[in-house]
Amino acid sequence: MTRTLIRRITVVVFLMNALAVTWPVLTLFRMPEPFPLGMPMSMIWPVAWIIISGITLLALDHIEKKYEDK
Amino acid sequence: MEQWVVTSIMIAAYLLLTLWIGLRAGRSTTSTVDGFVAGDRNFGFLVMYFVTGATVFSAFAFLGGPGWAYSRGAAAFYILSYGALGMLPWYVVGPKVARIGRTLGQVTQAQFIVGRFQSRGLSVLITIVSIAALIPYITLQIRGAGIVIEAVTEGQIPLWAGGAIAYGVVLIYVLVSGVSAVGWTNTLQGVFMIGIAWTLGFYLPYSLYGGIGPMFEAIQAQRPEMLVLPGLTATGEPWTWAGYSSAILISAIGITMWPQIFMKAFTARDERIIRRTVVWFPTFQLLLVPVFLIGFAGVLFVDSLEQPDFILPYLVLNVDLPMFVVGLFCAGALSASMSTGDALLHATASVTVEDGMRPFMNLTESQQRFLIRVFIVISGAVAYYFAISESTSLVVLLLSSYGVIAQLSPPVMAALFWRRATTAGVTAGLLAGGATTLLLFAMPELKPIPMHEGLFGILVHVPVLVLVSLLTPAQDKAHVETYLNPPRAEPANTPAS
Repeated sequence: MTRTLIRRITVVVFLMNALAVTWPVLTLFRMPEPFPLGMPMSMIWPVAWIIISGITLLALDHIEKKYEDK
Repeated sequence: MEQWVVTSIMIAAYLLLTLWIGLRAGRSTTSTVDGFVAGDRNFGFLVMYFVTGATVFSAFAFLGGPGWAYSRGAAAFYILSYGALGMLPWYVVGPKVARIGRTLGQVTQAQFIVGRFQSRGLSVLITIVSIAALIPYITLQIRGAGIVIEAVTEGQIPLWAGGAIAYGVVLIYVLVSGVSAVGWTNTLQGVFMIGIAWTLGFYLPYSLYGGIGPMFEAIQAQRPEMLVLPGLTATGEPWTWAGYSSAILISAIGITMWPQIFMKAFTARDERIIRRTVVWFPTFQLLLVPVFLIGFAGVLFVDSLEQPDFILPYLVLNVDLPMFVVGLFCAGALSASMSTGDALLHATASVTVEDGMRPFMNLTESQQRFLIRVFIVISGAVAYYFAISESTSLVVLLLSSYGVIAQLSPPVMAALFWRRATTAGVTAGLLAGGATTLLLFAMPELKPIPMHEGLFGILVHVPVLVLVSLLTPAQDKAHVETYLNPPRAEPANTPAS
């Protein structure tokens, strides 16, 4: 993957994250059902976004580092 | 032996360990301002990771987090969302700040902004904004430490004494070792917080409800409104979407603008370390999951507690936990309080001297270090005074200070990314944004929608900054260029090869 591509992906994920955890998208995930992993959906949704943005950052950093080392 | 005696011994052991680590930390740092405030710009990855995580997670997260989940239900989930959002831009901004700071010899946020927008008035303005936001924050940490010690010693050590003991220790190690003490003690405290939160987060739902699933099923059956976003307000009314969403946005904008976080960019050994810190920050953020589980464990178990922030100590003391668990809890909560408090005290004093005084008088290095130490004691004393005097509006003050501190974001972004920005524009924007925030904080009835006042501040701030900048003459091109692209300096303390 090129540096430009991963940078673009990171920006897109960041914007999606911002939209996903605020009104109005968040209203789709406001109810606790269906209790994934025994925890309310309303809590798992923001947690999932922490993990998604964490993984994206990890990928970004991996590729940035490769370019820096060159 | 009585329980409170055992717990007190554990607290004492924990405090001594922290003190020992804090005092040892300063031995390898030079006795310069750079050493005392920016740790000779030599923090490695592990220390930076824990400093950032443990500084962000304060007594507010450890006591306030469960308190919110317990009393306001799903409203607490906003705390999950702003950390990752707010830290991500730091991946780009942090290393830039570090590079400029290293070359131009900056150790504080105001120096960074004033480096581009040269004005002593602006420096003082930033100092005032920072201190106004920092003092209530320190007060809250001292109160948190006092509450925990009072609760677990069954009142044998009252709040005023507990706060004084814990922050006496903080004062000693910060005075002696400066920011290096903050770095190494936060590493210890960060490990404690993570370990203890995850342990209690699983232990309490299992011992009270037989598991996490059964706990939420029980809450769903009896208090279903607790689990639906955007949760409740402090008085039990449904919270508004505008309130919930704007709380996330303003906190995301503000999080890296807190001086105690921002200034740590100047402590990193190299830019790579700042990037890695940002990359691994979400692992710290997940600490909120067990914190909320603890709060929810209290929902059906404890009938309306008058002060919801006490839910964690209350549960720990009332569910027949083994004594060492109670002791561990104290260590965790004290860690959360002290790891933020030490960084706050250090930042407040550094900012006061470096930005509020140095632009106006000639101070030698040793005078600066002496004055910073004096102001560490003074700001500690002021916050301690507020902490022991009864004041219920503290949490409100803290939430509002996020709105104030977020106003530092447009100047920082303008300094880095907008060559056409001018000193007049930045100053006008900061004044307009700050004034709007304070006005709407004092008179919330003026708000057109129930959004966080800080976000209204930003909405006024940015256009004023842009407009006034465009109306005033552009900055000297050469000045902007040297600021933005300073010649690359060699990383400090690299052994000559």
